[in-house]
Amino acid sequence: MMNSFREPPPIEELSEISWKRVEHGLVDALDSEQAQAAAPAPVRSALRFRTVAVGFVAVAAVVLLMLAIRNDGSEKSSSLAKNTSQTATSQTATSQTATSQTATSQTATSKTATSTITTQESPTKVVLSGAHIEVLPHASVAVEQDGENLAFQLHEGGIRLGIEARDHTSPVVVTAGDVRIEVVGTRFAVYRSMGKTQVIVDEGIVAVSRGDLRELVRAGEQWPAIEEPAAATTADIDAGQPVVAPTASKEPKVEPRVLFEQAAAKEQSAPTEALHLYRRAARASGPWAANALFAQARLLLAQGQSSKAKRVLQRYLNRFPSGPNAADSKSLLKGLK
Amino acid sequence: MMSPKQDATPVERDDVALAARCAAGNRDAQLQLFHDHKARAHAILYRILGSNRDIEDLVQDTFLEVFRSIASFRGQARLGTWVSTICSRVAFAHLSRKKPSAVEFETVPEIASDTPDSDDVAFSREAARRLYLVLAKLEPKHRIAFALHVIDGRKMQDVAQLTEATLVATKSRVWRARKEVAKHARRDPFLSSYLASQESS
Repeated sequence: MMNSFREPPPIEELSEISWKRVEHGLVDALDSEQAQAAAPAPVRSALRFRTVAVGFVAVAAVVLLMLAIRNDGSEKSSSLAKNTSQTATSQTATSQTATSQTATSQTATSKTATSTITTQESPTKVVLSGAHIEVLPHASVAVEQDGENLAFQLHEGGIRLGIEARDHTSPVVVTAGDVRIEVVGTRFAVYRSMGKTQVIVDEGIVAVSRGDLRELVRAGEQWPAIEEPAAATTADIDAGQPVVAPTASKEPKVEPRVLFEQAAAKEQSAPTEALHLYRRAARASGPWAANALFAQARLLLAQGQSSKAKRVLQRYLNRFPSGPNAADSKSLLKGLK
Repeated sequence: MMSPKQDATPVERDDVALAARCAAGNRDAQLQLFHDHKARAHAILYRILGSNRDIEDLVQDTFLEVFRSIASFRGQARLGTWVSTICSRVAFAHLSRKKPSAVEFETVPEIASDTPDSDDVAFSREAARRLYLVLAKLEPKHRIAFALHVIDGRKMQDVAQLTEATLVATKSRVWRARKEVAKHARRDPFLSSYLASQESS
């Protein structure tokens, strides 16, 4: 091991504003200490009386509180205890810089630490336990850390996260409204606006849950899946273009293979329903999703909807560039141009 | 009242005079001392903590401690060394306090991607982050000794003076910290490669 570092990490200078803050804080503290030192010492008997009086009042308050809790029943008492405990244990850190662009508030309890980041016109980037977080403009996100567990709650706006590979037992969890996203190592973005949530995955896989419905969203995919218009990208979000998809349907979760088979059986008799089933199958991942996406394009072509078919074929190639129908997709696209 | 040592140099005499004015409550003198030594205090605290998180409060605490005890300054060391010693004491108290505090994150300044060394900057920043994550697991005394000697390159004797420890105790702390860091680096190839790149010839 080295004797001492050849090139130690650079020291990030404090800004002029920070130094001013330190100086003012120091002067205030010195003034306050000076004032205390100048104040006349309390008379011993008066101090003793005050100590006894404060003790008496404290005991009386505890007794009254206990009586009140007993009268109010157990439900109220637990709520009171909870509030008291929160007041006693929460603390606000003052060291984090708050600017006109980004406001950060932090609280901590004995087990869980929480921070909230709110941005205005500009985005802000932070790193935390292997997670790189970019909070996009006009967004608000709460960050909670409990040991190795990391959770984000997106209130409004967009965030992009890069999560380093981590233990499957402690995934990073993002919640946005009633949508829950679990990741163990990936790069993705979540956008929330007008009560709707969208997830776009750049790398890796995330699991998105809403109610009982749980879906895996892979690189290049988004949730909820959008058929029309063409899939949005994280670049759209960066450009400040929220692309909130229609709310996910409440349809029960069915294996993509089953959906594909149902769709194939209905191609002749009910082509619209078949298209719907192919779309549902294509939202999933794996070989049946690929088959369903290609089948959807083929059926659209058969119906003469060539522009829609082109978009679906392009999506197939984006999602499954080396899929079993990639060559067919390319050749069909060539013919459609 | 403080009396400077007989063989004091002019600089040392200035230090003692400034300290005397500060002890008398002269606000201008206190601000002069603060401005003369704030960069030094910040550098030491940053080296020990690895980021600017909490550092404003700690710099303030350091100078409050300086002014509370400045009446005892006799010119036995340079004023700068004296401030540095109080810095390491404040850092030790901070690291020894019960955790956790708030979520530990810090704002990442943008790296200009068109500069030739942007990759190096990103690499160093990530490596430093991982190193300080490891240091956070060490005993505060070991961490401080490691940060000041290994990272900052101060002599072992100077570290001993700043941490108010014996030379033997300081060497032992650095040795234990090195051992712990090496143990963690074995599990983190990124950190391991960074430490190797820092190795002096």
